Amino acid sequence: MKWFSSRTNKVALIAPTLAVYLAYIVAPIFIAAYYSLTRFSGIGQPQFIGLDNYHRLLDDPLFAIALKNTVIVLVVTLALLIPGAFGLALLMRRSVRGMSAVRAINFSPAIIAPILVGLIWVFILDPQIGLVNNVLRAVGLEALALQWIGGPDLTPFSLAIVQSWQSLGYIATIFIAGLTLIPDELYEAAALDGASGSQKLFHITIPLLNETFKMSTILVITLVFKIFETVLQLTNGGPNHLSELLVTYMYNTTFTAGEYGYGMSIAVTTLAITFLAAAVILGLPALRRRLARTES
Amino acid sequence: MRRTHGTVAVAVSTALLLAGCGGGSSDQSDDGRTRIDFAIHVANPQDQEPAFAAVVDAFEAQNPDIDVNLIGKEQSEHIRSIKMQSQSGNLPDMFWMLQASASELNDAGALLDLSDFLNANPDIASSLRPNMVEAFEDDSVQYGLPYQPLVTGLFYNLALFEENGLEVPETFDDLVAASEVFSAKGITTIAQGAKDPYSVWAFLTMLSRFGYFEKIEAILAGDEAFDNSDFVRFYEKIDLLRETGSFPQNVTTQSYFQAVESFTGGQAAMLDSGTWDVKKIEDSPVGQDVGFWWGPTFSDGVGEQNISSVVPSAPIVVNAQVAESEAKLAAIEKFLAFYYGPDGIQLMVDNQVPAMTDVDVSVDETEHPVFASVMEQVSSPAYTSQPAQPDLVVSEAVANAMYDSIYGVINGTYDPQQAAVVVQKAIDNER
Repeated sequence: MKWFSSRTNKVALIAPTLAVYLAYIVAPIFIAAYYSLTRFSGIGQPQFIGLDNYHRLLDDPLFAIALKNTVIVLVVTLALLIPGAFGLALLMRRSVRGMSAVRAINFSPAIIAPILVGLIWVFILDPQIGLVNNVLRAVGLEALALQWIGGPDLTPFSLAIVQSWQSLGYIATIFIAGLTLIPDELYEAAALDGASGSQKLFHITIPLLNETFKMSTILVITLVFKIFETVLQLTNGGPNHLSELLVTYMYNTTFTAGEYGYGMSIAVTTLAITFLAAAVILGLPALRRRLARTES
Repeated sequence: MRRTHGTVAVAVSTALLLAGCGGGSSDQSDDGRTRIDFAIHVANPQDQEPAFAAVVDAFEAQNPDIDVNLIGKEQSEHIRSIKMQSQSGNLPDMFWMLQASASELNDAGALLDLSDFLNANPDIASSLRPNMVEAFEDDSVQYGLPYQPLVTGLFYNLALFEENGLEVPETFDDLVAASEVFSAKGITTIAQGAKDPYSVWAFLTMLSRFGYFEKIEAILAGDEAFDNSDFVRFYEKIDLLRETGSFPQNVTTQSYFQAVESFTGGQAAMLDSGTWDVKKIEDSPVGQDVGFWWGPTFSDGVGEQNISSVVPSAPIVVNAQVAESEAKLAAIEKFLAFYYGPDGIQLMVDNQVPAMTDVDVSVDETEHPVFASVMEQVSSPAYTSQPAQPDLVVSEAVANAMYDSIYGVINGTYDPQQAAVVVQKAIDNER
């Protein structure tokens, strides 16, 4: 095979994939970054305005709302999804009759198109026609029949619940995959040493799933930063942009308001925030290890 | 050398990929007919724009040597697509476009001046309502012609008014009084859906009754502010309607289409909409009881109060490159002559689209009672139309801020002053 593994052949084989990567992944990022420095309506020539769009971001209350909402959705989703998916994976790992069906049912929300997920949850959360408030009213808990969507406060929390519902089975599947990689011998040895169930959990399972937790967290971050159709269907960002997330605000600014330049500055900022969040998650353990080494 | 090979391989692959993104248009269909590529803002013109589709079908039947190739996409996708095609110089031969964007395309030299067509067809030029033509003139260039007339206002359920001992309002005070009665009985006065922010047509006409067209040029030029006392007073009126419970309780989560359903289902007394909903209303259980109203007059309004809204909708424009093909240009001029001629206009009226010219048309009142009511209002000498719809004479960004400001007050998110400032900020951002 040596004759084939020449550098020229390698380059020839890699070139098409690299070209696709450059054309459709790398180039658009640079193009977006360029347009973020312009005023552009999508027609004619873009007008270079330097960092004006980024200055405008700092003064834009709607961007601040979208950022705040995204952070709320991220934090609540992480808080619900990571422990929830881990717990579900522990339960689903058990060899019980019918568990395969349970796993399939849990995974099913992940394969429903997000636009349909939004539609389903409109009928659950809508303050007037939604299932939740109608049940609450029917059992005499009128005071708890809140404006889950469409109001100024609760929509991001509702979005986090919807996102968690949709992704729970998906993330749980990743945890199940991680759990199957832990050798049974470790649990057997721990049992011989008299370790309790919680001791096994905290001293074997969780430490050995460290990488799975990290990757799941990054996955959840990217999922949250891509939430779009669900918002569109639940509230369309309303009322008055109060339930926008960064992605929906970017879309509305770029394509509905026709402000391509400003929209791209939101896109670039969102990308930077996503990278930063991922870097923090990936970098924290390394930082912790370095600090531990310094202390010792 | 090897590095050079690698670089060349990547560059060639990338170039091939990008070249694959391009497209082209030819003058003829496969069957040898002259082809007009016409991009339209709905995905399925036959179902969603039956009047337009009927005119196209009739034109093709009359001109078997011409093929009108309709390219239908949902509106936002259509606009995105046109903007991208304008960047690559691949615009379709004819297309529907928002007015502000069409004006920009004209500035970029992408559109054909249709003055020659109007000069060659004086009958059409003189029969089109003046505001239908003037709206798409820029420095004596006629960059577009109206797609259809946009007739918007408030449909009302006469039976609901009568059941509640009310008369159809004329003034804003009448409207507030009616709203108080309806609210007390749990009936929505005006069906609106904030999930579709553009659905504020009647309120845009009300803005004209506070001097919008007298002020907007000065506002855009920076000589006056949008948050002036007259416009703030306009938002105060909406706020008063909100306080009296005129709007649906779930207005923030309701779409425009749900608002239409609540009206056609008899749960709302009025619907903010336009002639595109006439067929749906006529086919509904309330179809025989519905009339059409231009909206309230205001005792503290500014200028003319009897303002109607018979304005051009977005324009049809023609790609400037069409001039390079004699056959295609002739086919397009033939199409335009048919579209704005008596046959085209009557076909539109038959499909419940009001006439945009002054030619005589006939409406079957028994079969189309709601449309007849609209046409009666359109031809009423007591009303004068605003020159254009207020949101169509500003950029998309400012138009969106206007929608936000109106729904902001309807939703209770903004007070009247804040609402006016939202629009002013959008104008400031464009400077």
